Amino acid sequence: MIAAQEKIAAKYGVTPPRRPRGQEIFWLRVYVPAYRAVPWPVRSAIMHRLPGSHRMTWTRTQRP
Amino acid sequence: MAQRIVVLGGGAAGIGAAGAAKAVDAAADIRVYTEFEDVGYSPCGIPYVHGKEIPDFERLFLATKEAYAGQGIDIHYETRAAGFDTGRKVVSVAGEGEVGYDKLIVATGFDYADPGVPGADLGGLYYVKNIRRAMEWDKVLDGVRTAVVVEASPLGLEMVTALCHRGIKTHLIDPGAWALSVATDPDIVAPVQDSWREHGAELHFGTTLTGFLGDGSVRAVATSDGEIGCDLAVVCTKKQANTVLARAAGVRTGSADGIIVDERMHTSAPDVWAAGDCIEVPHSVTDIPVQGLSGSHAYAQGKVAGTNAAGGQRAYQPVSVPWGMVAGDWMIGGVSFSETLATALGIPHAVGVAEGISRARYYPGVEKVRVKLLAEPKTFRLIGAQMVGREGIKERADFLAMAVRTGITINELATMENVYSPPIGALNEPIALAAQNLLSGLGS
Repeated sequence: MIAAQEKIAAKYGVTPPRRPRGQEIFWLRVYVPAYRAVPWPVRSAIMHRLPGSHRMTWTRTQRP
Repeated sequence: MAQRIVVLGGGAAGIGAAGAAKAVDAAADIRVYTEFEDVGYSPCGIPYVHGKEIPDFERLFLATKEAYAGQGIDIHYETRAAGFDTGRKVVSVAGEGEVGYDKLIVATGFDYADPGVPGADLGGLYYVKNIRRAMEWDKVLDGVRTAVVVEASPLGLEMVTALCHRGIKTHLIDPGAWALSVATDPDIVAPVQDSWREHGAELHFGTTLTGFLGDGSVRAVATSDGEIGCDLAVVCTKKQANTVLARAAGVRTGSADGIIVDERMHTSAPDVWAAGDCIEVPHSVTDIPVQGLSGSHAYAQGKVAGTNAAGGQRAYQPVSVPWGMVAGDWMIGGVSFSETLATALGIPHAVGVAEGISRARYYPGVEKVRVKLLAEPKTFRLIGAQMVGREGIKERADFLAMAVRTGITINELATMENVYSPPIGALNEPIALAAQNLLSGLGS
């Protein structure tokens, strides 16, 4: 979220989030670039494999 | 013999479930266990009593205890369920021993996330939840001069507004860069923050809570940017699913830490349903589970759980999560994804923004309405929206939630028809303007 807030803050010209500290530096400098390098469909597929209500039966509203 | 349906929890989901079950099976023995003194009131109204917009707490109650008894719903107040056994189909109840059930509905709600800092056991820390405690805290507020609201969550926004209305010097601390920084973007929430400052609030964004200081009762909040003296701290941390009993009973939980349910609100355990803040449900856009939604979601889920537990048929839908509130002097709202959240998740999106008006330009009381829409760049499907204005936000959020759920595209919104009536609607609908701007930005 901090990385996303930095990007959006720059776009709208508002104060960015505070500078990362401690472990946050690792997440911002290593994890975020790696995460962003993975296309959304791949990330989405990984998230879908996690256990959760989304893997149960759900009937979606269908447009006629 | 009448079936016995036991409901754990007397909040919106639990009471919704009990009422729906009784409607399906009038002969059913329906028992609700709640650790609190009351059921069937609106905790969401508490900040507005504190802010003096609502004159008293009594108005928050939906029905009397006698009314529930008259409906045949047997509510056991101030009675804690200690656990349940899905094999033997019994609930262990403090003071009552084991109580058998034919169907069980878990509606155990949420707990605020532990701030995880020293001093969290001090007095003067207010967690807004129970109406009886809120009545007590309301008297305390009469003597409070300075308060700190911890975290700019939806409740945090409401409490900052309420405390300002109450004339209390209010500080807001939040590690994010702006208020409600997950659900909103800075251009949407900026008017809200400006209005809080006009009311004397001090906003400390990018500020992390490090402790509560005091001797018995809080006298200051310690933060990454120094101490803030206060008489009271309102802790508005994230709502976490209360799944303690469900997990202990072996009911499965998911990646959002809520109880896993299907569209009928049935859990992984036989004859056990669940509803409300203790469950997770899939999001209609991403199909990823989300948890900690609104009272209207909890009540609707309770209705589904109660209907099915009693033998009826009712299904719930994946959620688009419309939201809205009064914050400061503004109404803000939206549905599904903000630009910030879509960016954080890496979801491809295009953005269109427009500033329209709420009534005909010449009609008294006309106000600006800022609308931001997010769409998938390839399909043009609407995936999110945010709005700020002084009227007409809730209705637009509800409409846009249906648009997200049904897969409406930006092209369709750009050419939507709209009501034109000078006192209630302008010639150009702000949603259509934002959609047209989004398409222009894409060169369509």
